[in-house]
Amino acid sequence: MSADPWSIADIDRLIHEPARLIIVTILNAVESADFLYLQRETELTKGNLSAHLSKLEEAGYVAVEKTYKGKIPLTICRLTGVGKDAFRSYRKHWQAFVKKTQ
Amino acid sequence: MTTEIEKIERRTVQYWFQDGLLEMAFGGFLLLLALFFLAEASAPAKSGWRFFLDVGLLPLFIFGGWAMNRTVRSLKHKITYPRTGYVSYRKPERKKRAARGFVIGAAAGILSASMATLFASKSAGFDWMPAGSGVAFALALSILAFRTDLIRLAGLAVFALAAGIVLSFSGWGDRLGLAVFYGTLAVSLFLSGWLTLRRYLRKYRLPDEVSQ
Repeated sequence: MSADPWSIADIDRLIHEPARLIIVTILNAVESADFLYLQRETELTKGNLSAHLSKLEEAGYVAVEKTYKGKIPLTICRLTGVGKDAFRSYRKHWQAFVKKTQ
Repeated sequence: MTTEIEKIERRTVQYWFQDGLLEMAFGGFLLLLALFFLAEASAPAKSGWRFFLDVGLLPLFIFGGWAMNRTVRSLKHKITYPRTGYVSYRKPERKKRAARGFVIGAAAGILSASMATLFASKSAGFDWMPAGSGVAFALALSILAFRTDLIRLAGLAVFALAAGIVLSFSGWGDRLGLAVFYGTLAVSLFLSGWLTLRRYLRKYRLPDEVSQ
């Protein structure tokens, strides 16, 4: 099989960004996770994490629900069906690309 | 990159065990079982008390499982989620749950049949119950250790196996042997959970504590 370097162009660039890839990977493994957990796992600042979550939310990949637990604000994030499909497709494309170029 | 993705996924699964609360609660459940078998060992055969205990094993399992689940969830809301965040795990699909149930049922059936054959062939008979329980617990803990990549669970699996075998040779019989087995395992699980929780609490402080 010949290597086609341009096949990487098919990859979802929104997910391919490292911080967003970690966020999507975590959310794909669970039903939902809150902002604190995502911040601790990604080691991003609050502002950075918010910005990445907003991009994923705009694309319809992530649903963000803002509630309160007592007086403490709670932001719950979950991967939508579209997000799950996009992540599955991303992994497939990435694996195929790695296989081709090995 | 695939390996990195797998690492992140595995760490997300590990999070449920990070605080040691499950081990402590499971230790509590096993302590209940130890007390149950101790009561059985002291009850005279064919007495009303013994009959009551025999009938009570299944409700004890159901209540114990329910109480353990409630306790872990409640403690996680108080201790874990405010420190390191809330995670809700996905329930497996119905088909997968059925398949898993079938595999567990089949494994339990095979194990029970093997144990019954083994006991029947030994003069000591049911004295081998602690060893059988040790094998079952070791198997379950090993699978969990493999899935979560947590070495302490593998250590507990080895301990369960060793304790079961040693207690089968103790000559205490099936019920007293099982009581000591479950008691020993309960203490070891509680200790492992407590040490894990202590380490967790030292590492992760509440946001209020950090800002002070």
